[in-house]
Formats: sequence, C-alpha cells, structure tokens
Amino acid sequence: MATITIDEQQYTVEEGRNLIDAAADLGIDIPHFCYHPGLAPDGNCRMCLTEMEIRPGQFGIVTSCTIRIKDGMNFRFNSPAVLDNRKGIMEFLLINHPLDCPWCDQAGECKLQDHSFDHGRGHSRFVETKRVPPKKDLGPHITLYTTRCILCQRCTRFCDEITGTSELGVVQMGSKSEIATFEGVPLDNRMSANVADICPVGALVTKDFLYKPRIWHYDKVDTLCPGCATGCNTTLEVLHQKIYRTKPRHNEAVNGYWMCDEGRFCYHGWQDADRLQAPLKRVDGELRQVTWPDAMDAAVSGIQAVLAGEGDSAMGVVGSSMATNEENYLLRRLGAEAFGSPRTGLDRKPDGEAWTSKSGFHIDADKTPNTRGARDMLGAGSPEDILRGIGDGTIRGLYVLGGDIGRTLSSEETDAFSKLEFLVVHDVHRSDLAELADVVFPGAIPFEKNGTMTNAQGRVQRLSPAFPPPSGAREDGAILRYVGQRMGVDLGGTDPAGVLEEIAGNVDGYAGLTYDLIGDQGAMTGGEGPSEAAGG
Amino acid sequence: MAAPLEILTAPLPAETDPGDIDAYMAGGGYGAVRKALKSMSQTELIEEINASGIKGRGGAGFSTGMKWNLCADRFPRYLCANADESEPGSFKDRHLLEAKPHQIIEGMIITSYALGINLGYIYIRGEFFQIIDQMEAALEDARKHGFLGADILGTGYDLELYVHPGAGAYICGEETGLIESLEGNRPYPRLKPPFFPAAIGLWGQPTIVNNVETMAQIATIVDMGAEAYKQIGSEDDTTGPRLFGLCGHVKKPGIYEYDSDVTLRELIYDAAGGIRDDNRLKGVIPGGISAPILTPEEIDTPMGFGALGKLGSMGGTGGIIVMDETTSMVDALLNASSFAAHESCGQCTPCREGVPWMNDILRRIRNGQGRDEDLDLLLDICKQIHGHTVCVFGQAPGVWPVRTILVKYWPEFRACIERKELVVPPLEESYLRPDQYEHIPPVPGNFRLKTEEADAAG
Repeated sequence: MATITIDEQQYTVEEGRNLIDAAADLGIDIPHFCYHPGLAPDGNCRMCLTEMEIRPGQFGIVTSCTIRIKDGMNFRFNSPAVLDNRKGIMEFLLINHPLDCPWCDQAGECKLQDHSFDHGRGHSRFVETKRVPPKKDLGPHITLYTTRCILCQRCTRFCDEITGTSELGVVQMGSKSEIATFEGVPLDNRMSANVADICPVGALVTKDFLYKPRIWHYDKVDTLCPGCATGCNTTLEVLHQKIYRTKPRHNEAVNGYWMCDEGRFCYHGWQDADRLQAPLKRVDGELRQVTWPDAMDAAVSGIQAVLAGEGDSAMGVVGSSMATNEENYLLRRLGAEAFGSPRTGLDRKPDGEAWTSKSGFHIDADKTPNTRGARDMLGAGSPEDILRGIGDGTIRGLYVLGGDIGRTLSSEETDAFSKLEFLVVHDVHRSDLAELADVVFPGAIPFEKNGTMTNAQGRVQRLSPAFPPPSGAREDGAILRYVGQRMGVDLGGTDPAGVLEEIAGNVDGYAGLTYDLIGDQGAMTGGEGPSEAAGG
Repeated sequence: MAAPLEILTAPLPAETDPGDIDAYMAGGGYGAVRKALKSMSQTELIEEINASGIKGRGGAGFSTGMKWNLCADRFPRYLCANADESEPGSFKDRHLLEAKPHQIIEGMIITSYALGINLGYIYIRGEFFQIIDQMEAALEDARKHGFLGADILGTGYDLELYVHPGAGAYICGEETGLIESLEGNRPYPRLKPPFFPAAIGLWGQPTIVNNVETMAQIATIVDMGAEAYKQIGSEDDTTGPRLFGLCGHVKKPGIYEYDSDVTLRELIYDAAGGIRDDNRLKGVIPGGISAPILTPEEIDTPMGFGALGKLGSMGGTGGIIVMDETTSMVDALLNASSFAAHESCGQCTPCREGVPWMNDILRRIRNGQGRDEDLDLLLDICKQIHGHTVCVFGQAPGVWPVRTILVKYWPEFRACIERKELVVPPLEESYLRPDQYEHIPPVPGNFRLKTEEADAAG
C-alpha cells in the first residue's frame, strides 16, 4: 500500500495501481477518454491531465493514465491548470463533433455528454465549417459514424492488444485522421463487437443495436452468457420482456472486460425461437397441446408404467448442460427418490470451434454453459451409455431435461429414442427430441433462469432471469418439483439459494458455497473464495 | 564584424564528387575516426565531447554530452542520425548531406564507438531521394575502406550503419516519432516522461537520436580537439561553428558558417547582402518556423542558443527567414499555421483539433472575415494547446508562431479585421515595440501583450 496526497488530503491506495483506477477506488472520477482498464494506457486524449509534484513544491502536468502509484506522490486534481485543460479539451473534442445526440446510439451512456456536462463551456466559440467524414461499414457487426469519432484509439488498441488481429488502424493524418480498415479486410474477428462497448462516444456502434429504444429505458440484468463453457459475465438490457443488447460485465477471473460476438448476439436465437406455449401430450401418435394437470397425469402414469415393468431401473434421466446446477440437482433427486436410482446421462450438443485471443480470452469448444456443473450434480455417465441402455432394453423410459435450441438429433439418437416405451422431455420449442416425446413440458430458456452454473474452469456463477418464461411455460425446477409431488416425493423449495445450500451439503467440491459468497463475481468449486482464480 | 568560417563548409578539392571518399580522405577525412578508434578510449571520447560544450544542432540546443551521459547502461544500444530535415526555412542538413556525407558518417562512427553502439541508422527525409542514393553509396565506400563492418581498422570494433528513408511527415523528425517510424509504425510520438529514448528507445533499447549536423560536428571536435573547438563561439553560450541558412527577402540566400557570436544583423546585412530591393526589414524568424519571430529592434542579438532564448525566441535549426516591409504578417502567419495544421500527426486532441482551428480562423481573418473576438480567441486556443500535448509539435510550430507573430504584429492583425481585407500597413504602424509586449520565461514563444499598450493599440 502507498500513501498519496490528492488536493492536500491523504489517502492510502494500492502501490503500482494506475492513478485513474486508484482514484476511482476512492470514488474520485478523473475524466478520461482514451484510457480503458483493459488496455495499455496511450495518453492521447489529454483529458486526464492532472498536476503532480515533480520536485518539492513544484507541480507539473502529467497524464494520469500513465502514472503508477508510488508512496508519497502528491497530486492536484482541481487546480486551475487542471480544470482549464479539461475545459479546453472538451472544447477541442466538440468543435468538429456533430452534436447529434438525439439520434446517437450512445446518448445517455456517452463520455462526451457526461464530461461536457461536467467540464464543458455550455456554448461554442467555433464558427468554422465542421469536418464531415462519411460513415463507414467496418465489418459484419460494426458501423463507424466517423463524424463522432474522437480518435481515442481504444478500438485500434483492442484489435492490437486483445484480439491480435489488428484490422483497425488510423489513415490520413492530423485533423483528417480517421479510423479505418484495410481495403478488403473488414473488422471481422470473433470479438469484434467489443469495440462498440469500449468506444467512449457514439462512433462505433453495433448494427444489432442501432436505432433501438433509448438506453435509459432498459432494465439491466446481470447474468451469464449461455453461449459456451467459458461463462462470460454479462449484463442484459431488457425492455417489455425483450432483450435488446448484451454487454460483457467485468470479471477479471473469467472474461475480463470482453465477450465474444457469438455469445453477445446469441440471445436472438433464443428469443426468436418458436416457444412452446403449453405442455404437449402424444395423442393418437401426435403431439397435442394439453393443460398442465393433463400433462402431469400423462407423465406420471407413463413413468409409473415403465417402473412397474421388468428390471431394476428401467427409467433413465438425462440432465442438461443448458440447465442450472439446481435444476440438474433436483433432477438427480427426482430420479433417485421417485424413479428408483435410474441410470443418468448428460445431453450435450457436439463441440464447436474453440479460440483463444492474443490476450488469453478463451471461447470454449463446448457450446453449452454448464457441462461441468451438470456433471457435478448428476455424476452423469456418457450419452453413449444411455443409448446403449436403450439398445439393450435396460432403459425403457427416459426423463430428459432438454432446453437447448441448438440441439439436433443424429439418426442413431433418433432411432434409439424412438424405441423408448415412454419419453418425457423438458424443452423450449418443438425440437427433434420433443417430436419423439410422449410428454413435453415447456421450460425456460437460460435468460429466464435463476440459479447457478459452473464454468469450464470450475467457477460457480449466478444467473438472474431477465423476464419470466412465457405464461404457458414454467421454470424447470418448478416442473421437477411438481412431478415429484405427484409421485409422492417432496423435493423441497425450488428457491435456487435454498437448493444451493442443499448442494453444498451433498455435492463434492461445492461445500461452503452460498449465494452470498458467489456474489456477482462467482466462486471456485473446491473451497476457494470468490475471484481468486487466474484467467480471463 | 564576425568573419565567416570554413570548418563544416570547408570545400573539397575542385571538381570532385562530394561522395568521393578518396577526395575526402585526401583532405584529411576519416582522420577523426582513426584518431578516436586508435588512440582514444570510450571514456576519453565522451569527456572530450562533454568538454567541447557542444549543443545539439537539431533545434532545441540540448547538450549533446548530457544526452550521451543519460544513455542507460544496457546493451545493445542504437544510434539514429536524424536527417529528416523538415522545418520550414531550414536547409542546413540538406546542404551537409549533399556536401559532406562522409563527415556525417565519420561522426556517426565516432559516436557509436564512444557509446558502445554496433548498429546505427541514418533516417533521411524521403523527399531527399538523391541524397539517399548518395548516402547509400558513401556508406558502401566507407565499408570498402574498412571504416564500417567487422573489426574496423583492426581495432576489433564492429559497426553497421543503414540508411532509412523518411516516411513523409514532419513528425517523423521528432525523436520518438522517428523511432516509431523506424520500427515500422505510424510516427506517433511516444509519451515522455516517463521514458526518454536514451533509456527506452528503438526496439525498447537505449537509443541516441542526434541531428546529422551534430554528427558532423562530433567529427570536427575529435579532429581539432575540444579545447580548440570551444574557442569558437562563446563558452557560456554556444560553442563551435554553426551553419545558418538564410532565406526569404535577402539578396544572397544560402548557407553561411559563423560562430554563434555573430549577430542576426550581420548575417542579414553582411553575409546575405542585405534585403531585396534595399527594402526595410519587417521581421525575421531566427531558426526555422518554430522559432519565435524577432522585430527590427531585436536583430542586434548574437545567434547563440542562450542569447536568442533571452529574447523569448530560440536558436532552432539556424534556418533564418527574413521578411521585408512588403510582407503581410497575416499571410505569413497563415502560411506557418497551414504547415502546422497539415503536419499535425493527429495523435493527441489539443494539437489535432486546436492547430487546424487556429488555421481556419487565420484564413478567415486573411479573407477579410475576421471578427473582433478572433484575436483573443486565437490566444486562448494557444493557451489550451500549450503544454498539454504529447510532443512539442503542438506548441513549437503550432502555437509559438501564432503567439509571437500575433502579439508582436497585433496592430496589423487589428487593421485587417477592422478594414475587412488583407492590408499591409506602413512598417511603423504594423508592429509593437519591445516595451509593449513581454515574454514569460522559461518557455520560448510565451508572449503576451502588456495590457494598457494592448488597449491603446487595439
């Protein structure tokens, strides 16, 4: 730790920390544009200039973003020289700015607006003609409103330092400088949309979010990305039960400040899916919409018929790597207590393409978010084991937590599942699997779930629902509890915090974990506290 | 009256090619390299340079010996000879490169030897393509004669020097911009502090960036000895010979070599033969466009870095731009400002936005659309840029010409605004006298009007 002086007040801060970050820790905002904690400092915007004691009694102007805290440093954040500079920089940045806030995507979360409010002049002394460089299409996800750009170069540095793909650069010089791509080489990498997040102004925008409702209307929901086993922390922006935007949420141990484009835009697939609005029951060989009690009756009598037949555990249960730890745990209990210790499996779609960026950001090959957690909960066998069981007739009925819109069945799987005497499926749309089922319970998509998931590195993290499931659908935990009840098994409350407590008492590696301990940054399985794992 | 010198400008034998190494050697060339490498230790060499009192000839007048002493104790170290001469009004490096390529190479070899450098670059402005070819040939000749390569003159010392053509911008001559350019990047100057090139430079290693004239002077110092060298000029200001390039409204523009005690008046009226058409002097920029302008009352100053600094100007590159009474200072400043607006690299906000803004305002004034508040606005913009930029470009060619020409020629700018057209008032009415404005040290170019006189004038 180091003791520093800011405007004649003493503070204790972490030695070696960047001055802007150290001040932020103290609740002091040093205005800046080009500095981003996830990137190396560049010192080009000059907004963060403060005064530092260079020799005893003598203060000099320095860039806060390049200062690393040392014991005894003495700063002035509010001297006339510092305040005058901020006013000057704001004026310079605004003279050629179009001031098109009413239709700019960034309005409401714009550093130019915020700092202009705090440090600007309120009127313009600029009577010359503004520069009007044309708008540019930079790549599949990103458009550059060149007029709004303040050339802080966060985006070019992101492509150099984080992705290592360097698609963006500056062309021309001086006041004609513009962010640009090389001809024929668009901004098209697996993390490209992060540049819109870090753009401090409305210059870089995602085509996905362009001209959507104004940002101040959204509810923000902190949750996890369901796109892969990395488990990026995200914030959803939600309005009228619809997601409009996903942004990465900082978690140094997992995703840093970033997320990949697949994950960012995957909400469309879920949201646009043709959701099941009511349970389905097979009647005369066809799936028909029925009421919940009707579906329950069918499910319970079907399961009981299988259990009443020959064999010790003719029912199998298959968990889902799309479901939470709590849901998978409740499925295990349902199986153990109502189905007579059935064989368990875990359903997972085939791997996608893994990728690790220059900075170490990892996109997992496993395109489901909770394989590790589901395995931990179920102690699950392999999918092949379940298929073999169906093949040799030892598994005649199956209860499957589905719910992955990306899941399709292979012909072997279709053949196997067709042989089952009875198949119950939780799903969110009429998937291949649902089409084979005798009863389908409409469940929740990950954005509607409350609970925890365990990412590939073993970090348990919390999901929060952006909105409830459609009126005819239910949370999967509630469905499981209902089935249990009908079969004479009390699965307890479905409140995930309570289920987690039970998990902590029963599942290896989860001892000691509580909702509070997991918090918004997660906690490692195996007894470590929150935020201690390296990575990101 | 000061006498012209012939040290750096010593002529080669008649009708020889300046690149001809044999002619250069016949006149004693490469003697300094032999002397340094064969009879002097590295420490002795550095002491010799320190003792000579030489100030770097790139423009800032920073002590070369001190720069060398700041070189971090890490190896490899690199040398960059800066031949990216782009300062408007300056052409002394070009002259040296054309006339004495081997003397520059000699200085580079000695410098490299003194600092334990085995690899050096000479970064030559891209537009000087003939010079680039000539320098390549000169390096090849030096290599053939055993002054470059492995085991130079049998001393066991190795050195390679390479030519790198400039990337076409003024900022490539800023020392860290030059380093970035050499590394293959846009020449965005680096932040300094915390690190200067002598600590972390090219490829992250300690790097000495010296002007090519400084390199040539190093050869001269070793050749004549520090003791003799510092007799030239004055020890308490600037030692050694200086190349002055006179241009503008003089009868005989060209390169003149004097010691730094020569006065500006002597250079203009004696060396360069006086002003064209025997007009009266209106103003003179003493060292490239960045050097704050001097009015007719101020030209009896010696040309040392210290003496010019006392006037709020600077020695700069020694490129002297002389303007006679027919010159419109509004036009002259617009020209300087257009250069700065065009050459601003665009990295940092104040320079990228502020310098072109000033250019727009000046163009408006020149076109007869100036507003009463424009002059104060210009000075305010200067204040907002000054000291707030990554490198000194924003203030040197960006702010200083505006601040000094505008302040000193305030009545002429006022006249332009009041009459809504470009006017060149009679000489007496066009500028303020030295008691009407003041320089605020220590920064050059930091001028302001003395208020009551400003009110009277305005």
